[in-house]
Amino acid sequence: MIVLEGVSKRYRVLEPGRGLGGFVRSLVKPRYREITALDNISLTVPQGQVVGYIGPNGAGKSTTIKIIAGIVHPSAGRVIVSGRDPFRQRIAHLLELGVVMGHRTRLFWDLPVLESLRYHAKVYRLRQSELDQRIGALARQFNIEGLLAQPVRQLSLGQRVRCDLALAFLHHPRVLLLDEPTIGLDFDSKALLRSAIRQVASDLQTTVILTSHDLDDVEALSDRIVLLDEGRVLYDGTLRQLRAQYGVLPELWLRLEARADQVRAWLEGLCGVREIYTHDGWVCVAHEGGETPAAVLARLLPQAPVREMTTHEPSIEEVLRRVYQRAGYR
Amino acid sequence: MIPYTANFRVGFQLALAYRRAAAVWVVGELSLLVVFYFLWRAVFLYAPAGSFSDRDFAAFYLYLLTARLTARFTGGPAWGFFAQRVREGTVVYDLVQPVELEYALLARWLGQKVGQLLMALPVYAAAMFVSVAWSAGEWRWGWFLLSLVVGFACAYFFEFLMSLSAFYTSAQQGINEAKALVVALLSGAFFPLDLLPDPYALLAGLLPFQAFIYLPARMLHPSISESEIFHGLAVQLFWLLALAASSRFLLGRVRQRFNAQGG
Repeated sequence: MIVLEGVSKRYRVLEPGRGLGGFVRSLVKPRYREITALDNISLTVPQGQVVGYIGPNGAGKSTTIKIIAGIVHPSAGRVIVSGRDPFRQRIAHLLELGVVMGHRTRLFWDLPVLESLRYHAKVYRLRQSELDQRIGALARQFNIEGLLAQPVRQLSLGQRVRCDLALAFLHHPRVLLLDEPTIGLDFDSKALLRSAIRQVASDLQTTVILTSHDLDDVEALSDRIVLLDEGRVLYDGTLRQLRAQYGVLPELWLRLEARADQVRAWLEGLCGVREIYTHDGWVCVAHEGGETPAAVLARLLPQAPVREMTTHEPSIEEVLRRVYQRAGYR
Repeated sequence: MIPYTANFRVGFQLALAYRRAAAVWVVGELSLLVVFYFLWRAVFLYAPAGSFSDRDFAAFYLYLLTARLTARFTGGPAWGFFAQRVREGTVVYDLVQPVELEYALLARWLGQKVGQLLMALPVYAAAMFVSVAWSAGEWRWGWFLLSLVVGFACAYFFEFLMSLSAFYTSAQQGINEAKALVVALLSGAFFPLDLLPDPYALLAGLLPFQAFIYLPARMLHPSISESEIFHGLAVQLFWLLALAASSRFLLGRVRQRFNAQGG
């Protein structure tokens, strides 16, 4: 379980002077600007939950990850991870933590992958008897069996990230921090990784905090999402709740011989229907999902023949765009 | 202890992975020894009574061979341990390892140095044999090896301290060039420090750099006394404790102030 209570992080950055004169002045008399990376964040993540932690660049996602990892101290607030203070009980905390940064590798560049896995196993105090069995299982799950003997420098990006993820799961971490794990990967590699992460995290009951600009990752992996904006939590809940809250609903589009007011009358009182309008010969029924489309069809088919039908599930990007527009983010 | 032996093993493997670089280094070092041989031979032709500071040419050249061997073992990475990793952001992976970072790196660096030394050792053994170094006596070789290990640890902790500057400033090129120059001049890598005139010898005696190369290399001096050996080791141990304690303190400060802004 991860608990953040009123966590803030502020730091100073040097304000560079303008032009050559300003540069020289800043050498003699430096001026600093304070930046608030996190502003009073409170968050509780139960064991085994996968949380998508998303926000625009500079929102504070990576800072939160580094605070949970115990490598960046918060300016205020309290952090407890698996019942421990990450700063005072650093080694015990780190023994149960996994970190993957998709654009940076933890593997030894010039050594075979297997050597990095062995090294990692020793550093995390795994017994030799556990080691071979775990490496075998993870190699199958992440499809890296054929890569173990290869030096890391000879791997493609997708292969390397798969190996990095296998390494991160090797010591069965209770908490796994994934920072852009699929960045730069092709569609197939992303699909394989998502499925493997989901499977292994579920098997091991690992709490996962995932930050990614690829919202398909977030949608595919997360039980819950936390939206950040300028260091503050903008939303914390499920994606379905978010869609409902911000009125970005799934839509059922029907081409049928009827006007919108007729359709409204036929669907009156039907649970889950939120909006009905016509556009270019189509009738659109915005609904809350679930079994509503079947119920809509059951009501409409006896009234008018449906010549065409399609559905539109708003992407997570559309939902987030709406959220940030309302928050005034440009 | 196991995490540290794992670091030693990885360091050794890395040394073997970079064996071509080591081979190039050996060629460069041999060239340097040949140049030194003729350079100092020429200097000794004009030495009063054929010696400098109680050393004839054979003793002097033995010192140079030993100093170069020691320098090989105690020399730090040109860009420090962290500069590149701080710039790339991979230092985060160092900081999330469940180990005491300075000791884990010490073990890895020791493994790397032992690997490098094994590759370079035949060259030095041959050079020392030619220059009749074996006449130094077995007991002196024992003190030399002990002093070499302590010198390695001193040099490592000094390098670790300097490397931590990467968390404070990106001006690493200037820092590393200045460091390399000062260490080369004041550690005894190119000449014995007792050749320096008094004020400079006094200054060199107050600084930690003598513990890296000069004090270990001096252990093979034909006329070194037991009290000089113990004094040299005591000075090395003092600097080892001082540098290790400073490293621990500064690493704690670095962990406190580490920001790693941005992804």
